[in-house]
Amino acid sequence: MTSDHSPRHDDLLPAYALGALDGEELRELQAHVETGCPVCAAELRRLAACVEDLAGAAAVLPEDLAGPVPGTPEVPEMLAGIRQRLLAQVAAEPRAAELRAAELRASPRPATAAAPVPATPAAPAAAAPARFGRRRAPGDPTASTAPAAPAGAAGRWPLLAAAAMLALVAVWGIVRQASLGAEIERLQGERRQLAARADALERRVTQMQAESERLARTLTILAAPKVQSVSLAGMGTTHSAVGRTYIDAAGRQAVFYASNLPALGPDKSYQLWYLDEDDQKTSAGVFDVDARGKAALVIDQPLPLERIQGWVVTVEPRGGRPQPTGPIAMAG
Amino acid sequence: MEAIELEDSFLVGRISAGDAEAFARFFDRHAAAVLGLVVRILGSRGEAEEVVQEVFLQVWRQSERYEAGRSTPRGWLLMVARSRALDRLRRRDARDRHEQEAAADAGFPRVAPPRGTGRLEEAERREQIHSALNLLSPEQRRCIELAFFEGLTHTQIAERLAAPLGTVKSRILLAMNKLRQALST
Repeated sequence: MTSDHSPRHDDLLPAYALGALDGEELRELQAHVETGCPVCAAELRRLAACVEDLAGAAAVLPEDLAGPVPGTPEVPEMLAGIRQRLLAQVAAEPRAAELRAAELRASPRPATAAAPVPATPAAPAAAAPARFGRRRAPGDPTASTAPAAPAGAAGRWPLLAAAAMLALVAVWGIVRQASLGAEIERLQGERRQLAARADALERRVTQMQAESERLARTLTILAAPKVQSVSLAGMGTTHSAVGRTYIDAAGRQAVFYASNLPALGPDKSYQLWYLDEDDQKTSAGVFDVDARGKAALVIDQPLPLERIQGWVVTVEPRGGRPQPTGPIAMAG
Repeated sequence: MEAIELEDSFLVGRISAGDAEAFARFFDRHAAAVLGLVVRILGSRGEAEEVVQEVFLQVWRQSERYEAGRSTPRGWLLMVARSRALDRLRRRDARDRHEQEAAADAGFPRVAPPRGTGRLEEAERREQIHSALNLLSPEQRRCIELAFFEGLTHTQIAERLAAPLGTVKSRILLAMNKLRQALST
């Protein structure tokens, strides 16, 4: 059940995010937020990001403390000291989640706590991967197993077993460090791949948008009230090709379709030209054909309709030329 | 998502699984920033050392409390650090009112740290935050700093500055809205 969001709540949220709200206002807003108001939830997320940014800006050693202070350790040594103490503490303390897991393991069959007693020094090798990094605290049921092993018969065995275990754990630690690095590298590689895929998809979307825009314009031209049409026929080796230009006499827009045109090599393009009464040829655009030998070209320029005497398609170097240089593929 | 965040999220995941190497790595990446923040709040290095240790211990014990959709691991860490440091400050204030004056100078760095300290993305973001902070009037900035670094509420800020409560409220509201707008890009 959510209570209605009001502008008053908007005014209280910034101070709330900063932790500066108190008294009745705090109680009022807290009660409202706890009803699950989606407006507040979204706004609080944005404000929390803002407070985190403030923390980021403040997370710089003050200028006067960044340098050495007489009688105190310098920052790197200080951090190294903290690090050492933390890692020792962490090694001695199972995480809460692990404690729960250990309880779960222990509770149904209390006997299992003592079960994985290493019978030979090799046994911990199998256990180590799953357990490494987890601290063998006094309270950890599995921790007491090694010393509890054969006590009387061969007094040296527990020591040897413990030493072997330590050695294995150390080796495992080194391996783990390497595999952690490798895993991070793998994830970063994956991220790059995903980014590349996103780029490709974005390009595809742009292409599709261009395509749909082209189709829309084609439709406008075809559906225009006054459309002039000229058909083109293939010549020579491309004699089976057929094509047609449609020109919207009012809007001066045009579109050209062709089919049965052979595909060209990667270094060549088809280019469409119109001829005026002086036999001057002006480019109307460059196009390629698809796998089925079809092509469509929206002519993106105003056409001097009354002066156009005819159309030709030539084969040109990729990207086209200002004036035709190659063989004529179609004319009309 | 930036590569840094990706690596941090990965490390936090590993920490939840009880991985001490991941924890050490996470410490190496962020301990200096946490120390910087805590020193700014507490004003002394000696206490800061203890608090930094507490903060990372809390990360170790409660990393599953981190919600990936809500913030970056670094942002979460810094908020844990701020709240731990403020707890310490409040306890200290209860003990000794004098020290409060010492911490009263706490504020955001007046100048952005030079490029080349820390990672590039962080340096860029810090510069962005600096220019956002520069949009605030000195009074607005002071209110935000008192709330952020000393954990003071509206009422306490009004008392400290001997300003009307309504004025403090609107300064905070305007300042936060300015910051939010400037930083939302």
